[in-house]
Amino acid sequence: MLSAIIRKVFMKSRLKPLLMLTVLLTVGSSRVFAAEPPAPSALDNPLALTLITLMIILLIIIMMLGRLLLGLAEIKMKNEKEEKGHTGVTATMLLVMLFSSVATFAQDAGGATQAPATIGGLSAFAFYSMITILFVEMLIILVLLINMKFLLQKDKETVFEPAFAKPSSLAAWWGRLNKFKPIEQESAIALEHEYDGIRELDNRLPPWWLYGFYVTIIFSVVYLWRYHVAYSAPLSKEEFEISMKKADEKVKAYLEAKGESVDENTVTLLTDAGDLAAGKAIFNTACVACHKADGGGLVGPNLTDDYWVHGGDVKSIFKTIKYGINAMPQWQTSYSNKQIAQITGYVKSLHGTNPPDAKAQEGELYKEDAAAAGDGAATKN
Amino acid sequence: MQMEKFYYDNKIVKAFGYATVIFAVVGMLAGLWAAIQIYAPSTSLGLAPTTFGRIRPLHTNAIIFAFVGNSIFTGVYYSLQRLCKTRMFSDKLSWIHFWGWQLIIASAAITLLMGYTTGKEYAELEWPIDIAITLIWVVFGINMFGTILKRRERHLYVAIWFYIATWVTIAMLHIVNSFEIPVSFMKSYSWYAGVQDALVQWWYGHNAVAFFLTTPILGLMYYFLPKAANRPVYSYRLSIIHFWSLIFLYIWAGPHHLLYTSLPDWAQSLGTVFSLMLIFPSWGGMLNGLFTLRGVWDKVREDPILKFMVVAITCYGMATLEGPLLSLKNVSAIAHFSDWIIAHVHIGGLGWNGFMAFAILYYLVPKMWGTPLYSRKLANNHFWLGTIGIILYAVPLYWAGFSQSLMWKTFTPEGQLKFQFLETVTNIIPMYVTRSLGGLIYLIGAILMVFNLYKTIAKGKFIANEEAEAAPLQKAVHHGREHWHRRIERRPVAMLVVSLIVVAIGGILEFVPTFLVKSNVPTITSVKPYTPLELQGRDIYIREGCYTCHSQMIRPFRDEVVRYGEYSKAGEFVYDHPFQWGSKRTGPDLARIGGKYSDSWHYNHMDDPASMSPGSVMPVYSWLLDTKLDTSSTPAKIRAMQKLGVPYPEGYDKKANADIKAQSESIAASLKKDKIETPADREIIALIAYLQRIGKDIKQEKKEEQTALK
Repeated sequence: MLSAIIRKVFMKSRLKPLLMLTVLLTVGSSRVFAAEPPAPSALDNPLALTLITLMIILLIIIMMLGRLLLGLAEIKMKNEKEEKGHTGVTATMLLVMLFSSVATFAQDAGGATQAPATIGGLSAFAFYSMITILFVEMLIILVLLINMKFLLQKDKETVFEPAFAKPSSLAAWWGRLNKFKPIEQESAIALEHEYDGIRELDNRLPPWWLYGFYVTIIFSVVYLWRYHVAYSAPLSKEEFEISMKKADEKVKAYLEAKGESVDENTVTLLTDAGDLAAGKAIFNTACVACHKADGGGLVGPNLTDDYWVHGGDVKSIFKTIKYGINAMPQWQTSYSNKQIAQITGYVKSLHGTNPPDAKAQEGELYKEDAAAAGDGAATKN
Repeated sequence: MQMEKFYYDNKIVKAFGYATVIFAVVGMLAGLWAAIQIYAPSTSLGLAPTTFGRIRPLHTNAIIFAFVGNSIFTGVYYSLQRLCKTRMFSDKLSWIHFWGWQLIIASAAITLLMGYTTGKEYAELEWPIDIAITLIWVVFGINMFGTILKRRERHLYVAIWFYIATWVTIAMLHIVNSFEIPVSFMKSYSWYAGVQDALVQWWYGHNAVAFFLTTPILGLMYYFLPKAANRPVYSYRLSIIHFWSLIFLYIWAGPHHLLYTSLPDWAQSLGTVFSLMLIFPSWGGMLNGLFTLRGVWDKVREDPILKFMVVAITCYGMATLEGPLLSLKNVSAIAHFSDWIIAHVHIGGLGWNGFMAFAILYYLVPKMWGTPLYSRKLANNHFWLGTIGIILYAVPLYWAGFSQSLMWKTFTPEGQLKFQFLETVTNIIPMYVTRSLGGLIYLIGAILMVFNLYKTIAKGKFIANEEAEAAPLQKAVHHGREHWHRRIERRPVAMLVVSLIVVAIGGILEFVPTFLVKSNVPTITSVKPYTPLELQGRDIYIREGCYTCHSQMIRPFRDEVVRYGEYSKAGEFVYDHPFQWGSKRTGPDLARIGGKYSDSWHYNHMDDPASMSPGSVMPVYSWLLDTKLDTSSTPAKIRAMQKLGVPYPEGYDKKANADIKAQSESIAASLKKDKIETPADREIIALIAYLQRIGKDIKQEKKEEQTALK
């Protein structure tokens, strides 16, 4: 009797796929939204999202397996009409399985109403009910798989083996995955029309293709919802602010740990040979294009004379290199403060070298002794 | 039932086939040359017409519109007649279409090399050619629809659905994106500016890929694959679902080219999700192709035609999976502006379009000349050369794109960028070299095909008019239940209208808010129109195709903000007709280049880039130092801009040249200070003026804010 009902509902109905999808969508979505009111930021929570996504994926797997199983059962029933006992067993199994999944939905809907303690930002109740659902879903999949194995074994013995040479298991799996019709039975689904000799079959849509399509649609809805309705994911500009803040903290922590936090207020003249060599190396790649290798000036001013456009003391030079000014590019993005201090040291060391072909003086006269008294007071911005 | 006798027109198919072969070689040669120029800039020969910025548009246009375009027409003119059981509607229209299209291609090649360009990718051709394209496209449409209307087959086969959707969508895309205001015979400004221009352009650009490089080829696949394999098409219902979902969803996906740009976030998100939803509709086409081969895979191992098709369809599947993944924001953050994208499009271009075109040619020539192919072995060799070429092309570029992008993003623990831009370029030069080698191998394969087809043609006899028989059109009779879709299949006009509606929705829903809702492009008061000299400089920037290597769009990422300056704002581009955001960074971004270097730096850099940045792969632009700036066009340009809503004062067109003179002289004077003597009326002066202006307005605002605070 049970088998009769199942046959009536599932096998004769041409609306079967549509029906199942509607069930999935209504149940699936009511579940998503059911989790929301108690904790309005539930979609904010990556854990909740992961769990919900997992649930949806498992549900889809269940649906696919369920349909596969029904298909198998159908074949089996056709082939073994006399053996009523067996069909009864499968049908009962199917029914149990269906009920159990319905039960889980009920459980979930009643679920997330109170929110005392939190686990990963979710109320304990919501978390555990979600986990339970996932667990039950996995259990259902297991039951389905066992069932299928059972059915397939039977099928192999009674239907396929005598008829054809045994297909490799990979090919069989591939065929089931795509719902292939055996080529020998192709004429059953050939359409009557032909165009310039081209005929068309009417194979069913590969199930993974169809459900994959549904998944992308669901993903898209959730995506738009998160970014533009719930505002629970950062838009590009917010994402930028977050990343900048993070990076700043990281750099600050690193420099502090290293004890290397020199800046324009604390910089002093470096004269150590190692520092000057390091400064020279950078000067020869970054500065030569405008100031010439010997510092005599080209596009940029002469760095060896007593005249400075933006101040000639250590701090001013450091600042000019670091932040740039007018045509002088800023270098803080390319070099660390320490490196800039090394360049400054090297530039200062060029003073008075009188290179040939140097550029004429520009800017204001700067004398080391006078500056020693005023120390940096002459700097301009 | 009385059978009617009629003749298929093979002559027009032959003409388009020849054009396909010729432009395959020409387009690939241009591509190879451009690929070599990237690592050997001296191969630009120091001449304006042969420099990368003009060769690259020549390559893309030649491949898309000349090679693939002609291959589409070859296949359509062959299959449409047979699927409709009638000769083409009008031989005269067929030939107008053929010669018109070749004339467009020739004029495109000449004008692109001369530097006439709108500066919008894949839509570079100037307005007179745009109009010619529209007219010829209409001719093609009339001819196609005439043929469909006089068919002897009641229902339209799936291939024809794709042809119809292609025709109507390309018409829409081309017309909307080509809205421009002519300044002179070969110069125009885009109707749209900045963010809006970008949205329209990438709606067009993306769907040129969809409806010129994808849907017509799918249509051809639906004809030539079952023919070549002699198998029925796998699934009729899959055809229906994937056709309608594909054309509906594709249109929306354009903004995925603009992720993290100044385009409003909602539009970006639409681009992302609609691209993702495209995976399965695209794969529907792949599955229907590959599954059609069920039961004949042994044949695939031997038949070069099927081999080409299988690899083509597989490449199509890979590219249409990769595309949606690239549309995810976190993937786009790495891949955009890098060579990854170049690799991605060449999987589609070389694999899908190229191999499908080759397969069709190998199928058609023996059929139309009534003789077997001259050498199957040679065709197989072509197949292997092509496949190796694709791999050698794509793999190094994927690697290059990925590693360069990561280098861009690498910081030292001290918080400095670890690599100068140039270092990231020189690092991937070996990959560029390998890529050009892959391209060369692919081209050699194509030349083998030319030889093979030539030999086949030489030994065969051309069947200009192929005899056929069919019963006249019958009233539709249905036996029992009929699939609902059959109804529309016998109504071509309904098919056309419904297709147009389906493809129009996405564009309308994305454009209308972007154009009408003010908050999408917030105004920045300090952003002012370009001075006439800057405007002239900008036109030089566009003419030389600088946008093919330099972007003008700083995305809100830490590395870009540190490297280039504050991220770009929508309001900065309101006077940019056309926008110049670019899509590839072979050189650094220029959105805030203004004021970064001295005038003399730019002067020397244009004369010989390597003198200012040793190891640079930028070609020389020394002719800009000698060519006089043509200021006679200034008044017309100002008037055109005024018409587009740029707020130059009334009557400014007459005063503009005086301003040009003053600004040029001040730049010349600044150069003189750095020991560079140059007359003020040279093009380089205008270009420097423009470069020194880019991205500065917003800095100005910052300064004003600061003084206000003090």
